[in-house]
Amino acid sequence: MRITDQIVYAGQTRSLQSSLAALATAQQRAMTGSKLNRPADDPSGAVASLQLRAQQTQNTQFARNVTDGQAWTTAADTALQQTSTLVRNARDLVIQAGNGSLNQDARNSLADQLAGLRDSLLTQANTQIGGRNVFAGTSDSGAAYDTATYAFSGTPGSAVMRRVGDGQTVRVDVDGTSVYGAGATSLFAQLDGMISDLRAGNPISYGIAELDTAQQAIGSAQAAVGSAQNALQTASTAQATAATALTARRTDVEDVDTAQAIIDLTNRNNVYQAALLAVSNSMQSNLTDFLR
Amino acid sequence: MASTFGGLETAYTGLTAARDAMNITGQNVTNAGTPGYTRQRIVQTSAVPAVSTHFGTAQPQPGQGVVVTGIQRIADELANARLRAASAQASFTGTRADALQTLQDTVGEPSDTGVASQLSQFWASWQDLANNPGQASTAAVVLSDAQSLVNGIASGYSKVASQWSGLRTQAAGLADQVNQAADGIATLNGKIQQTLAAGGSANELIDQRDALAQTVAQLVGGTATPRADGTVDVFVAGNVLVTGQSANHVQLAGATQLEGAASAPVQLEWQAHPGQAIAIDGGQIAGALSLLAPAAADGSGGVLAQTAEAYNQLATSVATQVNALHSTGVTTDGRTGLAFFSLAAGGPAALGLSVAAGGPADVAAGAPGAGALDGTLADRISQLGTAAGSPDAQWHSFVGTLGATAQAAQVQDAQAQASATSAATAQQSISSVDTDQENLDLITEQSAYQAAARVLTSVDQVLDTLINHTGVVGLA
Repeated sequence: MRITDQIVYAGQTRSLQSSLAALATAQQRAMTGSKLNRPADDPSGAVASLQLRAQQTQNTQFARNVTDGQAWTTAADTALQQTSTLVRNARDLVIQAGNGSLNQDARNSLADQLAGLRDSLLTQANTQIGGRNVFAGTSDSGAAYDTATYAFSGTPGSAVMRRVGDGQTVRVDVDGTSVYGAGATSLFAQLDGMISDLRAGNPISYGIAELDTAQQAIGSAQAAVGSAQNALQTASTAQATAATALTARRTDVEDVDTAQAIIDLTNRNNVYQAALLAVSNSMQSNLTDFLR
Repeated sequence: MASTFGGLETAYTGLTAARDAMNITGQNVTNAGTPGYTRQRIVQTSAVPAVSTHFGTAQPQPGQGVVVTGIQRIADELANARLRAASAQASFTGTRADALQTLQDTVGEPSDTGVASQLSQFWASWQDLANNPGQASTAAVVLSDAQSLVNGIASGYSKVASQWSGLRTQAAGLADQVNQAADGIATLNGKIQQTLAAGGSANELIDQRDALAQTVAQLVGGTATPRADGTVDVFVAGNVLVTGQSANHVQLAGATQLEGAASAPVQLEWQAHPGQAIAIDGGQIAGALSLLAPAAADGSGGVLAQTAEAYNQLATSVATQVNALHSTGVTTDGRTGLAFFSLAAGGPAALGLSVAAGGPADVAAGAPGAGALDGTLADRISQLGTAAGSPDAQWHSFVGTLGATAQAAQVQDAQAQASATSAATAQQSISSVDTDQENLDLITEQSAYQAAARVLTSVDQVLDTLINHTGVVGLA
């Protein structure tokens, strides 16, 4: 093939251009630390990256949900512990009241003490977290139990759930009726019955059975809260693991190997320098220089 | 018998031929850097001896010197045709690759600010609302994240629409360039025909015409067929663009806005036959038209319209899916059947999408009958992002498709550019000027001139001997 000046110049321009373009790409990778700057760089990697980013956002949100849920279960757990203590105290008082040698004054005093315990129990039953009732989670009224009628303000069957993982929810509130009952059959109403019987001089030994039943209900509620706390803890650990794994996978897809990027950059730079040198050394002379 | 002074005449033809050759070399050297210049060469032949006037025995006679029969333009029509075809293809792929590069930057995925991130953020905000239903601040975050998503979709769509209009305007300009080049070729055809008919050299005019034919190839592809009278006919998609001195004109027709592309696709047509598309398969205009094509249901339409369609589908599915759940929910104050997004009828969905909920109180988070502060509905809405057929999955798949399309376009472009480079090198190998070669030619021509001058001197001296010194033996 016949080679002319124009072919040589065009070839040189092309090779300078292509090595400069390669250098620019290597620089961009080294500076951004990312090998996925446009979807075309790696179409399937781009999709993976988008999915991983979505999962990361979701995972972060799950972690927030867990923290929020833990506040709820802690509040519920504390309230249930207090409730359990109060019920035990009430049972002691009821046993004392069974002592036949007590005069009416002593019985009135026991009744006063029981009334105090009932009020404390009401306070526990109306425990709130962030303005919401722990024992009537979806209710927007000021208290779970009305202090006069003991009416329950919650909605039976509704629950406060926290989503802690894909398809995984944990109940973080406690249904008040399962612990305290509601209205006329509530624990408070039962205590009121004992108080009035005490004042009237009637026996209240039936109260022991009622309080035992209440204590059992509290126990099972505590067990439920405990398992919710466990579930939240497990989810939290799983989220931490997932966060690390997601970051690692995203790094795999998106980020350049820094050492490799630096080596690439140095290589490209060398190639470009060599191309410049080659071009500057060639074509400095032609036949004209040698004809006299 | 040759004439006494025939030798002088012979030497003179040698002088003029060498001078002509040097002039041509000068023309070549001075145009070594002229784009589209084709090197030329003197065509000379030895002159036949004069016919003897004597009847009978023929005597051998020397020739009468050299005759310059023409100035040859060293071009190979095949190489030129190959260059035109290769550059038509390279212009086609180059236009596509450039536009796809811009489009990818516009879409801006994957990033922390793209539509995909805004979607994830939007779903996450519903989770926060599920945790704290009835809290105005959390509902306000849902609304503001929804607004960012709406803005992101609308701005993405607008950028695509403006790229489309920009490309449409550019393509119309290219169609005008085709017409100008066609007119130029027709005019040059006329001049060349006249020059050749008069026996002149039209080499420079032919160079200009070849450059214009090359321009046409880069714009719309097409082929050029030389004819015996020196003119060329240029065909585009099998139809005549230029024949002899007449040129047909093309025009770009169809929608001028992305929204109208589906009903009135952009097409190149002959001005004489409006309404009929020209099926061009190469050149910048073909590249632009392939990008401007309307969207197709199977995703094989023009990539700009497909992108706009992806924004529309995203807007529609977000609005439909969220509203379907949201309307079943109740707000804290007990209202139900509310829409969260509204989708304006008519016009592109991406621009018609807006947040319907006026304020935090209008955001429903709970299921009916589950208590005022129930958050189960908000939780269900937040799960839309990971459900089957989610807007997220649609968008992710679109980004993957866009990436694959752009990658394929890049590869095609690299191949077409390599092929065009090879064709250009082959063409230049034949037609471009090599200064070394011209220098050698110059030496040869100079020597020829000097030698011819020497012949002239010798003949002159011989004649001098004959005329002035014959018969003077013994004189003076």
